[in-house]
Amino acid sequence: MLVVEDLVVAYGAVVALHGVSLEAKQGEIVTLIGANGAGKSTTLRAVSGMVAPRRGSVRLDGREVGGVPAHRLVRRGLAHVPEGRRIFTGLSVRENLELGAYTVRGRAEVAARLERVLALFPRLAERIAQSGGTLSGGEQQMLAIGRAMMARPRLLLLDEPSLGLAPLLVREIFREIARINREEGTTILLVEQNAHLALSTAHRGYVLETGRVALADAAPALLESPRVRAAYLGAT
Amino acid sequence: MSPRLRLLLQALPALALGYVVVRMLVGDVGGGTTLLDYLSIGVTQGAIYAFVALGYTMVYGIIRLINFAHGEFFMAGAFAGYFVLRDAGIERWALPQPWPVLLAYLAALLAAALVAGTLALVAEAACYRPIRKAGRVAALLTAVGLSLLLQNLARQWPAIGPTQRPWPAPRMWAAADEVPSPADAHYYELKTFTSPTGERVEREKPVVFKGATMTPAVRQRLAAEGGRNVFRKGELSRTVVDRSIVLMLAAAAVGLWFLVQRTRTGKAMRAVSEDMAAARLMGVNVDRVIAATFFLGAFLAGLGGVAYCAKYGQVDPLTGFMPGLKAFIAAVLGGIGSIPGAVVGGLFLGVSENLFAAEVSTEWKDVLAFVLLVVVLLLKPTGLMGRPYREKV
Ligand SMILES: Nc1ncnc2c1ncn2[C@@H]1O[C@H](COP(=O)(O)OP(=O)(O)OP(=O)(O)O)[C@@H](O)[C@H]1O
Ligand SMILES: [Mg+2]
Repeated sequence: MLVVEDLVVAYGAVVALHGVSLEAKQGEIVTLIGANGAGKSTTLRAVSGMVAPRRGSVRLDGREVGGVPAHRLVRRGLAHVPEGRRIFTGLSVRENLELGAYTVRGRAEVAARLERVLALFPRLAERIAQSGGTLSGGEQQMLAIGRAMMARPRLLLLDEPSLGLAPLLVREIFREIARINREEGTTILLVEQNAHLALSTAHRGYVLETGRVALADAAPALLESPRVRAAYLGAT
Repeated sequence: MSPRLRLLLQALPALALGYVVVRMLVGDVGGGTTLLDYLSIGVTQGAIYAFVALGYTMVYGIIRLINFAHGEFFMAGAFAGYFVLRDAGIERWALPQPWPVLLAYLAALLAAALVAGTLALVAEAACYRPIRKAGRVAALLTAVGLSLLLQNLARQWPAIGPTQRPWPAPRMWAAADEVPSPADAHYYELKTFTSPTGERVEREKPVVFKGATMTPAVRQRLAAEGGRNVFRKGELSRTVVDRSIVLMLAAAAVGLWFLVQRTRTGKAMRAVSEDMAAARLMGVNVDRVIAATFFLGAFLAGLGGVAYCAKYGQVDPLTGFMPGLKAFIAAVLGGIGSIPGAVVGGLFLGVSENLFAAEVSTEWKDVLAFVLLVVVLLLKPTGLMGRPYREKV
């Protein structure tokens, strides 16, 4: 579904990615782990069109999309929940969700999706008329994911969904992520600081180090890998 | 600010309001006009400010740009309306002919709105979009430059030129001996010349000035010129113009509110205003939404341009300057970025100015706008209707 090859991305003179290659197959949950500044968010940004790659290729369903502006990729079935959630704080929960379905034509279709997302996140249903800015951090994260799901994406990019959440809520969010993958068949590319949780949820994983892929394997294998255990799982 | 100064400033509006109410009850300002008349003039003028302020506020709301060229979109619209009215031959019509005049005005308004809107689209694509990432100062300078450029282009353009033109109005014909004494208006005759290039040119020649006593000698002279008909410039009835302007504003404000709050495009506008990158991730074509915002704002400015010129009876390349400036102040007064704020700010400014002119001084009227601006910003930096802005990091 998604194939990234030799991706180089730079912010001005700062080169953030030095030739990253990775892949996500239909129906998979793939996770990207790595230290701060390793280039995880940059990888997602390059895939979703928020930054243009300097070199290399990003292919979605076999078609090159490197450099295609972000708003066009939404129509091709890609949704990106960016780092820091970026919900619209001045808009109501409902309006946020409706914006998620901006590319979807037809009221009935939007209503059906809204119902589905509210079933996924019942807490959002209780707060549907509240403005996004008044939600708690965890609720905002649910809103960000729910908003992305409104487009019924085939590929969902999630950037640190656990950021700033209490452990109980983190587990709840990850349960929902696994459920979305299972029930909707959505392919998920997941960036996460909590390596243990990410690798327990994902099928496969990549470890990024300073803009390069250092390791790539099935998730259970990475969980057992001494290098990963030492660097990311806090084991001695 | 010291608490005492603050208290004083806060008491000012209440005092002013109290004074106005008392004066309304007590009556005449002089010359047969009451304060109520000034109030109604203020509302009309305020409605025009509000029309223009809406565009300022929408563009600011979406890309945090004070579009100083907005007054020139207004001027371009006014000229478009001028040409439509002139070429419709409105000057050769005798009043009362309400339907043709109404139709001509509708056509003029439409042309004005479309020309101003199109100009805004071109300006946005050619000037603002390329520098959108270059920072606010660059954008502000571009706006000022664009404003000057458009003013001077209009002055140089042969069809427009630097001179002030009277706004086309129907001619009201009268027989020479029907002119009342003293004359109730300037009266003109139509003279036909042959220009040096051999063209036949019609020109209006004033023959009797307003207020002139129609002595038998004057009447004789008029009759001696062949007893030909003279005319005065018909004005559309002031109440009709005023009411149309206020109605137009009400319709525009409601329409805009509906658009922004209830439609898909409106939601996209609010999303772009809050977080451009996130809006893109929703599939919103940000460039298109910004262009649409410019178009809408200028569309309203075009309508305002025709309304303003119809009310004040003339048009020239600098027509947009003062109303543009006042509308900018109105937008800030109301809380820039807020649509209800633009309406409230415009009406507030128009009414205050005219009450001030009635009670205090006409010459200092224009200064008042700036004083009000300072006072309101001291009391409430986000403007009358403004919500505190959450600045993006
Ligand atoms: N807008 C930017 N301008 C300049 N440099 C940037 C920008 N965004 C990221 N970088 C740099 O690119 C590198 C990769 O950043 P990125 O945000 O992709 O890291 P990350 O792996 O997501 O880190 P974290 O876990 O802290 O979110 C970092 O060195 C960062 O400083
Ligand atoms: Mg990151």
